[in-house]
Amino acid sequence: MKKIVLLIGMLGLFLGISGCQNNLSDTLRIALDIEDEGRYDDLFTLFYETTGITVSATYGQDISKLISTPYEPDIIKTSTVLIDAMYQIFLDMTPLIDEDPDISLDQYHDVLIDALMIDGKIYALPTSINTSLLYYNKSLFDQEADAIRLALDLEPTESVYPRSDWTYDDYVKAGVALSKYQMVGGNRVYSQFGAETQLNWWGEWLVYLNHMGGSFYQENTMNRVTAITSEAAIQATTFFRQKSMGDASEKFAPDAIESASSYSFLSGNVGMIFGGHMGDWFSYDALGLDWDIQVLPTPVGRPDAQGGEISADAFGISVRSKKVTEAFMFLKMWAGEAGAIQMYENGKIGALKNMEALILALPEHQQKPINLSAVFQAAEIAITLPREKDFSKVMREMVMSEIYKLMYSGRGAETDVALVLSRIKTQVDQYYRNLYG
Amino acid sequence: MKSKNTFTKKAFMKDYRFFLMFAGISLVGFLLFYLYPIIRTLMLSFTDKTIYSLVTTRLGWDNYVYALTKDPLFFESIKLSLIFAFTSGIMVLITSLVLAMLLNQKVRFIGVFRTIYFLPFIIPSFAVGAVYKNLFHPTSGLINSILSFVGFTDLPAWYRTPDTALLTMILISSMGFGVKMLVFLAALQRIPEDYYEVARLEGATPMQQFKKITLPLITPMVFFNIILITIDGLKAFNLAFVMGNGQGFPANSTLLFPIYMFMTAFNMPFRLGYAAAMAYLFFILILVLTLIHFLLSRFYVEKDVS
Amino acid sequence: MRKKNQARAWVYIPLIFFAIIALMPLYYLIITAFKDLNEASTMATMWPKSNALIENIRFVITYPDYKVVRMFFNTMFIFALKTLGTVLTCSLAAWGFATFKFPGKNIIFFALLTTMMIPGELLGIPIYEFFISTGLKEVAYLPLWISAWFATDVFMIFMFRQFFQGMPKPLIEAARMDGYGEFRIFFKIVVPLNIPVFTTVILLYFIGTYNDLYGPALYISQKQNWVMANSISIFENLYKSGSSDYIVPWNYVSVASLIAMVPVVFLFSFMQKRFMESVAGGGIKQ
Repeated sequence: MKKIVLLIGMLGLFLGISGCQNNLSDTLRIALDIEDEGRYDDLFTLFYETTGITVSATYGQDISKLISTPYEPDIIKTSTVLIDAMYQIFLDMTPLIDEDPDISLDQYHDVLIDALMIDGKIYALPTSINTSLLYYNKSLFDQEADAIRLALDLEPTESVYPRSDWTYDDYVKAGVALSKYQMVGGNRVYSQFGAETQLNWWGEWLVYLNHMGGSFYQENTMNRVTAITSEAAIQATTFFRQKSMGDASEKFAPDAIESASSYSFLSGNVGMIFGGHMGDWFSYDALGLDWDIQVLPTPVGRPDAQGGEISADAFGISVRSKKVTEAFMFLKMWAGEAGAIQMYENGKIGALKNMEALILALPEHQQKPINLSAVFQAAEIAITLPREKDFSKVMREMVMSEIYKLMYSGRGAETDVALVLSRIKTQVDQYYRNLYG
Repeated sequence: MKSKNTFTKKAFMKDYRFFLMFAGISLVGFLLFYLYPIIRTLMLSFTDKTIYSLVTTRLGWDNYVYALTKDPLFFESIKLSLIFAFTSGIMVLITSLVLAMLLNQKVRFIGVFRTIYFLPFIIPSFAVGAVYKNLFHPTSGLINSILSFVGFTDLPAWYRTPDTALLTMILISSMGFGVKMLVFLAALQRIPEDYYEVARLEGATPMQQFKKITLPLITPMVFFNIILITIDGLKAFNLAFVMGNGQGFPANSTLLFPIYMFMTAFNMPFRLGYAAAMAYLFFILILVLTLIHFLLSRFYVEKDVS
Repeated sequence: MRKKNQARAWVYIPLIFFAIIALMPLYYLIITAFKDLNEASTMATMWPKSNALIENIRFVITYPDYKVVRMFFNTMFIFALKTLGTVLTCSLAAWGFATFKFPGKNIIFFALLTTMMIPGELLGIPIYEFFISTGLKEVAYLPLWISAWFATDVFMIFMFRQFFQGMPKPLIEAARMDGYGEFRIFFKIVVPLNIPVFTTVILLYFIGTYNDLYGPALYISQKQNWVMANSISIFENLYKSGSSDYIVPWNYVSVASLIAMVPVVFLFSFMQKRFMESVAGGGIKQ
């Protein structure tokens, strides 16, 4: 018995010592998403070269679980959407920024700083923006050029690629021209589609909703009552549905089942996508897609409609960090011009106001062969998401899961858009009533 | 008798010393893993401590007041837990009791049925969620497939919508009648065969035998178990954690209390203080139920004897 | 007699009905393991159209994150330390409570028993806080087994004590007369005579540790530390992009679940009776 106790004691001591040793390393730790793997390595090298501090990242790991391990991050990712729910874990950076002559919040887009501020304090610095754009696959457009030309009534000399003045009509026509199918036993079996159907992200649907003059929440209800039974909402959802479920002259996007069996922009068999996440540039390049961007099309007769979304990835310093100075140095570099240029290589657009000028000043070979001005045009008119801490949860678990039912045929499917929307409204409003009375 | 009861001091010291050598570790364990946490949790419950807070301030009763008056999720989660525990408890109770009574009949193949009913338990509980999600999946699941085969048209989306998610969880946990059935079967087999023999000699029909012997002997056990099962159900974690993706998916509709507490205490930003206050409130609820159980059990045990 | 037979035939209707319910999850689990990705994630076929079992198994066991042998041994590591601790300390404590007499013993025992009523939620916070603040959270799974070495499983003490109280007193007295020390009596006489209860405890602990989700969810993050409980979600979240889990590759999930079942099925088929008794006993406990 004594021996056993002694043994356990020694084991405990040993483990204790080894546990402490792990914490002594002087590496700056950062927690990133799984898709970011390898993306910031150059940035880390740059920082090491200028300061001699090593930065090491974990990818896609739950931060709650990293806590108190040797991998606990000093710098944590957040965004304009998440900051409300997360800011308690971040150090208030306002005094650090005020004291530092090298950094000023004025250099960032005002809407983003507004979205990141809580009670006049700033907890995270924006490193890159995301904004909704129309992405298109150039090789598919080239391949179907004749069909598109015919559908859009274009001159032989005109480009078939999407234009900044496109309406939804043009979008539909080009989409249908891009879709190809064969009849197998009375069913249309598609081999390629004009556009992707995004059911895992609310953005596409919300863009249609906003573009058509609707909004998700009713005004002056503190974002607690939805407005999705409006005429605009029904119109937008019907458009979203027809795109996937319509007959041959309307359908140009996969339904939910077809999406599941690998029809996607990424797989190269879908021509266009409403993308909001610029991190995808990296993936598109990695897969060798020949792609470009354009501003979103607008509904017929509403060329000034606003609907695209703008948000920013931002990073803050963990309250538990013991390397605040180092972390702030790194963030300053990252959110500054040096970091922005470095990140542009990997398809991220910094949140700096002078970003366009910075890119244009780069040497020719560092420029990307894409229509960059579309990003800045889109960002100009884009709007931020409603500020409500359960917004993404509500969207994911109550809205998209119901809309999903409109997007396939067969068991459990729905066809009546108005009915589905009113059911969603009832549920979401009930949810907020339960929460806030 | 008398000589045995009077200890000499020496014998007492010897036994006491040996007792400490054998059971001392459990007393240390009691201090470290029960007494310390109980006191520490109580202390935490009066503070705003989080893992991320640099300074901790004392709040007095604020956490308790907030939980009871301002936090809708606290009441919601307690309500969901009670509904879940009580409904699934009763369903398991009734099914397992009926099955136990059926298996107690001397029919053929009892052994086979007993094994079959027990089989779901060889699925590890961390896989149970995935297995049943597959079964209840609105489009690719067997349940809806059977329902539409039978002729239903308006098929539920089960765990995917807030309306039916809790119901799905209740159904799934009710499918675990196997273990309770074994317990009841053992209890039924303890009813002396003589009772029935006497009844048969007096010319009682099987129905009368059931009414006069089995039911009265079973009823106390049923009531005794309802509260016990409810208390167990209130602590249910695994299924709700897997079915609700650890956060009461969809839209808090499966947010049982243990999940809500887990989220509050052990997810960002680790609000230990508030979670501690909720844990105490939950403890009080369990205490009340235990007390009711205690009173009821006395009542039923007396009735059983008479 | 004929009437009786008829009554008995009726008995089979509910019996079979519930048997179908009980078998359904297992049946669908096995069926799904045979389906290919497309069929498994989009169609609800009651009998597989495709036969992709081999491919599914190959996909699952070659998936980089799915290091099943490592996960299994990690689980076994926790199981071994936890069980050793409990078996040793709880049985010793139970023997202490069962044999030695002094005033106040029953009060102490009752105090220990009341701890069973305290919900784990209440006890978990300070323990978590301790492991976070000391940085021992993910060191050798310490939080998952250390308490077992302090006889904290009161139910097990209770169970051992029940069995030990049934030991014949004269045997122990005789051993004492022969000059056996108290520990020698325990290890040479009490333990060998109570092997069944030890087996039951080990079996219960195996099931408990193997199935545990709460502990790993709280204390395990690094991939190399993953246990069997982490093995299913790898595949469940395979195509989880951003916010969706519409497409779940049920075929891979099913194969992973079946693999996770292997040790339990193995135990079940060799010691079915004891297995059922133990689980039912544990069922009472919880």
